[in-house]
Amino acid sequence: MACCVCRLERQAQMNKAIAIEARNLSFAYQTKINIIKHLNLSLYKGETVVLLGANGGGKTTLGKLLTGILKPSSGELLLFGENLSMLPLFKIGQKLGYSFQNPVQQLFTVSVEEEIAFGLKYRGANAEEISRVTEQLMKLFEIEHLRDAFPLNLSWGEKRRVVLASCLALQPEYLILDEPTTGLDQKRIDILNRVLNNLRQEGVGMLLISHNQSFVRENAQRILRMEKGAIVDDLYL
Amino acid sequence: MTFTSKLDPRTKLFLIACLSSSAVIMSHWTFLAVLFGISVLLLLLFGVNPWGMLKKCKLLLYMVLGIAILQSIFMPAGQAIITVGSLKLLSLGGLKMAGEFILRMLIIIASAGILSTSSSREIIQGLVQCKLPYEVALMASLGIRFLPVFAEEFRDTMIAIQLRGVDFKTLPFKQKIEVMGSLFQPVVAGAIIKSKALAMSIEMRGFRASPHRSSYLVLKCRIRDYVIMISCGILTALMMFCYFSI
Ligand SMILES: Nc1ncnc2c1ncn2[C@@H]1O[C@H](COP(=O)(O)OP(=O)(O)OP(=O)(O)O)[C@@H](O)[C@H]1O
Ligand SMILES: [Mg+2]
Repeated sequence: MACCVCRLERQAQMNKAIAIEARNLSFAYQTKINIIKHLNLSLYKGETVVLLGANGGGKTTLGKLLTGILKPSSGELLLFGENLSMLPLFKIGQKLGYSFQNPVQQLFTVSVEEEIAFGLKYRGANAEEISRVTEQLMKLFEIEHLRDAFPLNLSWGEKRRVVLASCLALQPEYLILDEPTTGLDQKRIDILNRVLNNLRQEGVGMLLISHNQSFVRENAQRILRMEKGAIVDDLYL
Repeated sequence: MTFTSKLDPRTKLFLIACLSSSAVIMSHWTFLAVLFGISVLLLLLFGVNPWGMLKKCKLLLYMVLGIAILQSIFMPAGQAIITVGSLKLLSLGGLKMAGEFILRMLIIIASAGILSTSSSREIIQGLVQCKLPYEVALMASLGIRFLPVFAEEFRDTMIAIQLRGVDFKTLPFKQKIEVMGSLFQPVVAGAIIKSKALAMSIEMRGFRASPHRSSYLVLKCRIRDYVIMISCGILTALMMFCYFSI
């Protein structure tokens, strides 16, 4: 079994380019207790990885490290071959889409439409493209009727969909979604599954953190299990 | 370190009251320098890293520095150092005044640092046992609680903006203003929503349910608290005496 996994892994490594790589990564908050302990991990382009683990295992912390929001206390992180700690956050944001576990943290404009358009607008896209992408995403996530609503007043599931749409508007090369299904009803989870599947066809890699069994089953190509700051299981399906 | 951190919050309140009121009353730079030295010493005794504190209040320090510079320019006194035509741009007196202002502010910041070694619950209880109404004490501490909420809100927003691939620093000035303006509403709204939830949960846990409160936490001054308070009082009185007799 172990050997089989080994072989598969080697095969995968040969066929796929690495998107994100962590080498001997450790991290502690101000409390000085190591939340992430000497972690080694390679995430490949075009591959969908699901990260599982109990509450408090360090999944969100790992996600934030891989996105550059938190800085590792030791070890190395590479994003598409570049040293992640040397990259300013906005450069990372141009390649990587990240959605917070709590969508409130990510909403900062005065309307849903602006929220989705924000990144494109300030990265110099033309008006036509902005409106095309925004309309398309609002339609996809069924939030057209909320275009003028104040994002912070939306329901939880609506906020989640706005955040997902805002992430995807930038057409990231890799996605990290922290519990994207919490607060979504089954119909919206189905929509999300469809969206992610399309992205997969386009070769976008993703790391999904989730506790939702059916969502995991629907999406996972590889499953990582995290326990107390270490990866204890790494399985290809 | 363990000795000072176990002090009664009222002792700390008394200490910083002495320290900051002396800093406000005395306006001679030698006295202020001595007071500043004492407050740094106290910070170290309480296990607070003064350097780390300075770094945390960077923005405040810039403001203090800015005000000090303006003050020294607009209040020319004494010997001129730099003159432009007939205008005294920088004077010895102005410089002294700016220095005193900076020292005074640093002492007050250090006092806040000393207070932060007690939890807000302990400080409220300290104020209550000094016969201040609980509501007032709570309001005071909630005010302090509100600041980090606001700061957090702002930091999250800056992270979120950059994660959308936008470099705020290099945006053209007009766009910067535009973004800042549009941020104002959500950041404030976010902070207010959080505070409202906080207030609601405080009431739901029975705050103000009955006119009399009994506290589980009861503070008791020990001998060392009295010793420190009395010696601090004497020291302050002595310094005041010196100051006024010069
Ligand atoms: N800002 C922080 N300061 C100190 N400790 C923190 C902080 N954030 C998280 N932790 C601690 O780090 C550990 C891991 O937290 P993390 O949020 O990464 O867990 P998680 O696996 O995402 O859990 P969940 O399934 O509940 O989302 C927890 O024990 C948590 O208490
Ligand atoms: Mg989490």
